[in-house]
Amino acid sequence: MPVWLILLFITSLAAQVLLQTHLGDSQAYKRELPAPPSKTMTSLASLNTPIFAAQVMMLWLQSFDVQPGISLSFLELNYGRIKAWLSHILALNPNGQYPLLSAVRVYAEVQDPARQRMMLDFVATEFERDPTRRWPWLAHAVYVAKHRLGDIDYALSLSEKLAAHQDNTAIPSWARQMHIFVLEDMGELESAKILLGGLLESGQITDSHEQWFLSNRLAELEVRTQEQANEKKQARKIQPQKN
Amino acid sequence: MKLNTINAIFKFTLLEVVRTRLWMFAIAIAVMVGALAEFSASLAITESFEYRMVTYATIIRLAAVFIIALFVTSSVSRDFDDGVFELLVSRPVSRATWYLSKQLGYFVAALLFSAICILPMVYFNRSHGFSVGTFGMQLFVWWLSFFAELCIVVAASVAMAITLRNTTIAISGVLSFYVLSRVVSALVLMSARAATDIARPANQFIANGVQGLSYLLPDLSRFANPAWLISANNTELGLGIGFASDINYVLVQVLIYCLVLSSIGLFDLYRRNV
Repeated sequence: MPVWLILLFITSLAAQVLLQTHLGDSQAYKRELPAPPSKTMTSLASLNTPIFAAQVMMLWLQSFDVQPGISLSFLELNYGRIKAWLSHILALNPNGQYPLLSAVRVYAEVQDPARQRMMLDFVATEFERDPTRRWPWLAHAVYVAKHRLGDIDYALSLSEKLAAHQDNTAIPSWARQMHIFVLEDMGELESAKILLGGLLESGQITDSHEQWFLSNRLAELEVRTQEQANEKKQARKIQPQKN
Repeated sequence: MKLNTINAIFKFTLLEVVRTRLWMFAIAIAVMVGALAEFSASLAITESFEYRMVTYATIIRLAAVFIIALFVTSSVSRDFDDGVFELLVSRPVSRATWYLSKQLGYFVAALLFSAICILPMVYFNRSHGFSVGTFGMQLFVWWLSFFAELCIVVAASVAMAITLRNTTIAISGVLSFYVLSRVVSALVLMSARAATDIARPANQFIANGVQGLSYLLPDLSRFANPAWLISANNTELGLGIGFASDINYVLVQVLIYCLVLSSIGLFDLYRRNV
């Protein structure tokens, strides 16, 4: 083999490495999240394999906050666009759970109540389309609304969406009963007691362990309601004495 | 048609598969796509099995189509360029016998190629909770549909290599045919919803043209659906709603379309002066 050829190879290879080392890095700049494409365009681009397109889009969206040279916080992301992308991905693959998980466990972790609420609303809307598969995400949304967002009224409204599907046995009864416990936390002991008693009497609870647990809970509620009533009576008695 | 002649040409075609190391290439491709599928699964925070399976199934399908089209087109072209075809038809071998034997050999090559391609899927299932029976049935049905798609690609490659008489143009033709067949149903939907008035003659002409094209092409988007591999909780054999109609369509379509493409190829082969 001629020496000039070996030299040419080594020189060109070194030039390539040098070029990539010094000029290969792209400039760091923040890119805005674009709007999602239409369903038909996605089908065309993926050669009519929407499920694969949904997966690729989900991974791309998930890593959008890490851009070349910079890492964006969720606060810098356009949540309206994120919601649109998640809806689009879910429409392409309705059996997928990933967009719902991302909404409630990833994007709802942001420290901004408006953005958190947007994600929880998205989960609540999508839940209605397929309650049997999507209930776990709404149940988690109730938890996020109650403990992270600290908005117990909102948590109650979300839990009532689960309670509206009392006949759907695919949704476990603890999820369907979440509104009772939210009411209890709100101090609405009387309402919680009535709902729990009604549920036990309806015969929908067939598991003996669950019946025992809920009956105990009902008994506790009765005790607490009684205590609350006694406290109110005593307060009324003390007030005239002061006057 | 003599069975001995068919057998001899068929064996030579298979020998070509072995000597060109197509099977080794199939293993290498399966390993590379498998690694890519593992990478996509490692990025996913949930549904990793689904990501692994769908990524693998989608990419291996495209890779297999590309490789089989390249292999068959170049093999047929080589037979003509090297004078092998002329030599054979100068003997008591009919053109139909040559065509049938070659195509049969390529079908078997596609069968082996597709069988190698599904091996990583069996491995992927080991770490997942699907029962062997259910997953085995899902995988078998997907493989059958994948193989059927490759058969159509083989038939298209043979027909185009004979008709277009140039390897580059024939490969471009096969790949264009494949892409068009994959997206034709989406094109029909798009043309029916034109941005401007659908009653306009130009729009109607395009819509009718696309509709006409859809009658001539197989709807390959209904073949080897990756969703069949991951739907564990559906009705019919755990294979998803609409599965039965799709698999029946696949089986009937592959039979009809291979006949259509073979008749096109044979028509040009008999017309040709050798």
